[in-house]
Amino acid sequence: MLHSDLAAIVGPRWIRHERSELIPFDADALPGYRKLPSLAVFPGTREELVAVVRTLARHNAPFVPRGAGTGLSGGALADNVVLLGLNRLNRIIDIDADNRLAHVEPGVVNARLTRAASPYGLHYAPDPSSQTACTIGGNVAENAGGPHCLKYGVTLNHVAAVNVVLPDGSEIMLGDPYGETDGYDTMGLFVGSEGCFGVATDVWVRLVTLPEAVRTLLADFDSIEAAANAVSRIVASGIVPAALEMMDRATVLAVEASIYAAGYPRDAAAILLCEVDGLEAGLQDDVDTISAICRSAGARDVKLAGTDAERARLWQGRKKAFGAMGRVAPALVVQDAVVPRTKLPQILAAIDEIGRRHNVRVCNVFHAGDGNLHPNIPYDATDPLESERVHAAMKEVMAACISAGGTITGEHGVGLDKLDYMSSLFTDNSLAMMCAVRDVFDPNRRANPGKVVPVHSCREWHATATALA
Amino acid sequence: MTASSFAPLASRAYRAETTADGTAHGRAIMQAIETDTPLRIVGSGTWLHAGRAVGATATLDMRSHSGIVEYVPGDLVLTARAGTTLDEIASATREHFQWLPLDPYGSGASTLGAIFSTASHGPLARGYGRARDIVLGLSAVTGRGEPITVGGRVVKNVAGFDLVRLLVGSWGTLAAITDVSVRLHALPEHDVTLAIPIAPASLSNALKTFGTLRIAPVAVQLLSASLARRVLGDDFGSRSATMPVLLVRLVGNGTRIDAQRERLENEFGSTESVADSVWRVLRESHGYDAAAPERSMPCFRAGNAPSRLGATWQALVDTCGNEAWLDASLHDGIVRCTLSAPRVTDDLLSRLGSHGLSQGMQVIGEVLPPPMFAQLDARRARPLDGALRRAFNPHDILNPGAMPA
Repeated sequence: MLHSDLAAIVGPRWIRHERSELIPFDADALPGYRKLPSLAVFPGTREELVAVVRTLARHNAPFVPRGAGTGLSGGALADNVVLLGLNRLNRIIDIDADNRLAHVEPGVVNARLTRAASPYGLHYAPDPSSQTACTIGGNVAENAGGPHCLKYGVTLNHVAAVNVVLPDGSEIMLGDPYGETDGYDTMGLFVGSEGCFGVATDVWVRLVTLPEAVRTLLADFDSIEAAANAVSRIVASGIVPAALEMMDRATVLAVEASIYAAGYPRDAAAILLCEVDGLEAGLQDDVDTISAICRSAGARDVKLAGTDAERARLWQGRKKAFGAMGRVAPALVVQDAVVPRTKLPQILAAIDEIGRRHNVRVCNVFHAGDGNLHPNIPYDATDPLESERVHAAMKEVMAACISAGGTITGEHGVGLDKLDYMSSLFTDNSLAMMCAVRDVFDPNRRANPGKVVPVHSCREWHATATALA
Repeated sequence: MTASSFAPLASRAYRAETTADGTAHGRAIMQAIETDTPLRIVGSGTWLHAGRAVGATATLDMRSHSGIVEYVPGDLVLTARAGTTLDEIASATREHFQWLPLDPYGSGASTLGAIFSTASHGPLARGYGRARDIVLGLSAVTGRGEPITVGGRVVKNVAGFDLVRLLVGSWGTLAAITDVSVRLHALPEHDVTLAIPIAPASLSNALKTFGTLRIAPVAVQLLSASLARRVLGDDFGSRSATMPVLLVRLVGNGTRIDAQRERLENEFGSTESVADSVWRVLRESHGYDAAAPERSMPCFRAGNAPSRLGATWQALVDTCGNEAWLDASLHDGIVRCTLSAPRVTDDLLSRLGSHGLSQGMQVIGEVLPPPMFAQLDARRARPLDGALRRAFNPHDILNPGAMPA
């Protein structure tokens, strides 16, 4: 029996099978999707993890790997299949400061890695807003971003190697911590594969020198359009900010009413949080240039954070903004589309119009510097009429972003939530090749089944190859 | 064994008419499948004799599939057909005070398709990322003859599985790249290159010290004395004829550059500003001479952890000595080695091979005649590579042999 075979590996304490014990794992950070696993297993060491995956293979059992469950696409939900929790594998195995490399288990919390690297004058740069809870393994699965990826890049740019246990139980090393990779960039392929290709047992990530100096500015504007224009001009100036975030009035009000209140001006139509970092010399020049750009774009005020505490407070308000939505209404839908930066003013105006027309409250808080939008709509999911309006509005928002030349997800992943949009973005051939690649890693389609690529896009290659012969 | 043992080019050529959707290339590939004619994908021809020998009997010409498809300066994104050259991209972007900061070794006549198929990069990878970090999206035609489009034209994108990364560096063995979308940068306000001679005896310490300095150069290369003389000219060379030289490229506003220069001079003594054309001379020093293959200088790279760069460098100096131009990038511990005489002896090869292994170096061939390649190149196929190739290119019709099997 699967249950007893798994218990023999991890111990009965680390299996959950009662409904009441499984409910905490029935969702990720998106309240709209609930799926109950059949059981949940939590290996404590990499040997246990590999043994668990081999046991699942023997039983031909589908499974869903899960880190901290902070995802925003319903990717770590197990619909009556086994949930494989990686959060106990939380050791930082080694920090090689000379080569700026960290070797970690997949369950290491993102912010904890940065704290551990800091005595060496280093940090782990990708900083998703959930970083105080999310895990490196989860970051790898989603190719996580965060505000500072504008300057530093996303997870993909920081992973040097991953050791993976494939669904059939065999292990494979992707990438090379200290050298160049032989063969295809299967490590690049694995990053962002959302748990559909296998489970990372070890991850080697690059660490980056802590910047010598940081400056954080808050600019507020009378209109969203003025803020969006400031963003374009900052990007065009040649300065690459470490981060450039925008929040609209609806979001500011939610944040300021919450425990995360940061002192944002409540009467601004939009605020920009802009950070530059690097060598102390020359940084003030960048600050002056950005301030001048904001003012000439119509900023009412541009303030510089004076202390570390002030800076931390400004960032807390931004990073906890999604959480602050919980004060407005109990349910939330959030999108993650990316549009070309030059289209930001037009798209934000379209989102505003769509929200008004459907009578829903859209709160925009997003990575303006790279065009990665996060329209949030808090709503009452028990109200069927409001739910219908909310979902109709979000469909229109996504369609507008796609037709503006954008993509459906910049960092949250496809998971379950954006499955239906995949065929608006990719041709049948492209989706079929994604399926074919997945089948190389997982021929029996047991790892995180039903996610990322719609099942109907998968062809049987045997038939095609025969026709060509 | 000489450079003239490069394999001759295939004689038949397919030239697909440029079409917006890649169907002409698809038809050419389907025809090649039907007639069992393996294809060599060719851009400008600057990479033809780099890498492994390809067992093709015809070529698929991509050079004519060129031109910029979309360039939105405000987005810092450019999409071009695969046959567009780096020089053509540089010229178009310079008009808008922008650039594609990708400077692979070889010539500016190389095409986008070749650069991304071979995942080539140069010194600027330190500051701006490698080919795989700069590309946003691709269109390609698979070895099944089917067009696919993956990635996109925006700077952040996690939609679907990352076939962009799979195709970059696949040497045309999975698909023929037809279009590429890349991210650009604004041209820096100032762009200064400093040359710093380093006495060989203090090289190891100098490399360690360099890593601790609070500076942020976008490119740092260590050149052996013979290569430095070629790149910097005899004037510079005569002052420090036997010394390796560090080339350090600094960009940004004036205050920032001055402060970094001061830190370098405090540590290493005086620095000399040199023309930025040195970077073009450097990248053209390593590569295949398409006009005269018999003059091509064999080139390979050897790498180890960046912290071991001093030892890697010394191993190559000991093995190749005065015959070689050595060019090391500090951030990734890789030394590019061009053997300055086209004639390479078996003795040298066996010294390289055995020394490489004993030092734990990874040796990767760049421009080498096939027999040398087989002897030197350490790369092997990885477990899933064969299955991936069968999924995209089941008849092995595209660039057969270009990747380790």
